Amino acid sequence: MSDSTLLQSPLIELEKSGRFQWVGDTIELHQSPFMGHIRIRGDLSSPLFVEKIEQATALPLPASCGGVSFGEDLKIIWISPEEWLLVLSSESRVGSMIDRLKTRLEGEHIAFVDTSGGQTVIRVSGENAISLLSRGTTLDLHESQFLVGSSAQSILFGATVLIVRVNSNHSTPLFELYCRRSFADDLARRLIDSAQLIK
Amino acid sequence: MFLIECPWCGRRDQGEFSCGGEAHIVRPASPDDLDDESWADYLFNRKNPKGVHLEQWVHIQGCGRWFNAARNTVSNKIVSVYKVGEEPPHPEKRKPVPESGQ
Repeated sequence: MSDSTLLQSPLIELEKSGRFQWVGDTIELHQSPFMGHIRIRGDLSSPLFVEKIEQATALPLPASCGGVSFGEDLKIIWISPEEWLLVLSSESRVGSMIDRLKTRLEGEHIAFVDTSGGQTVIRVSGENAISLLSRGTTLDLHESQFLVGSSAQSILFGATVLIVRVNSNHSTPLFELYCRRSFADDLARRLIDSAQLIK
Repeated sequence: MFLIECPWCGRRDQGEFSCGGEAHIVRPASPDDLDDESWADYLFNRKNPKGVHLEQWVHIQGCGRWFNAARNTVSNKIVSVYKVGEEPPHPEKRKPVPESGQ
């Protein structure tokens, strides 16, 4: 793992000081950089694979599209029928987690890829969060269609983005946008531009 | 723009998908035995029908999986989608396998 003091936020150009954030009347944008992202690939029909992953993470492995398992400081998001994204609160935890998974699943036909350096998370919240995101995607983000605690990978403002609707204690919706760091600056600028148009 | 039903993700916008051309084209088992005409037919010639066409599609911006779709080339209506390896809903639309094929 690289030293965290050497890491540069993907939104460095937009950050005047500290972490990126943009706060409007009804929309807030924040970035959660340097989280741990592990791509897990394996066979869902293998009971051993599912059991060991669930043991190591203490979370159920989502089996279908849109599934997300939330833990205290980690989550597992369904990507495809044989691929999941394991998100940890910090990049520094990735090494030990991959070691733990590898030890338990030695000899199995699986893959763990650390994509932490290539991805970032932008959090969109506020009462107009859905109106904002709807300007950039064809997904129906209404609460009745896009349930709290579910996810979808799609195109958002031209970039491939994994959208997760997070359980929040507040009455307003909270979304996490997982995108490639090279798209993050463009995505954030487009979100800000669109947010300024929403009154 | 139209909606396509991904077998794993459900109905999504066409923009998330990419078309991979005609489906069910089987590589001849022994290409050395083919004459030039049959080999060129395998490589280049496609049905290009007016009507239902069996195609490969990939949900490239979503789950990234390949699947097959029967699409009407006139109305752009997706008649049905089915996973790779499953039998097509219109078997008669399949491209015939060359004689030296499997």
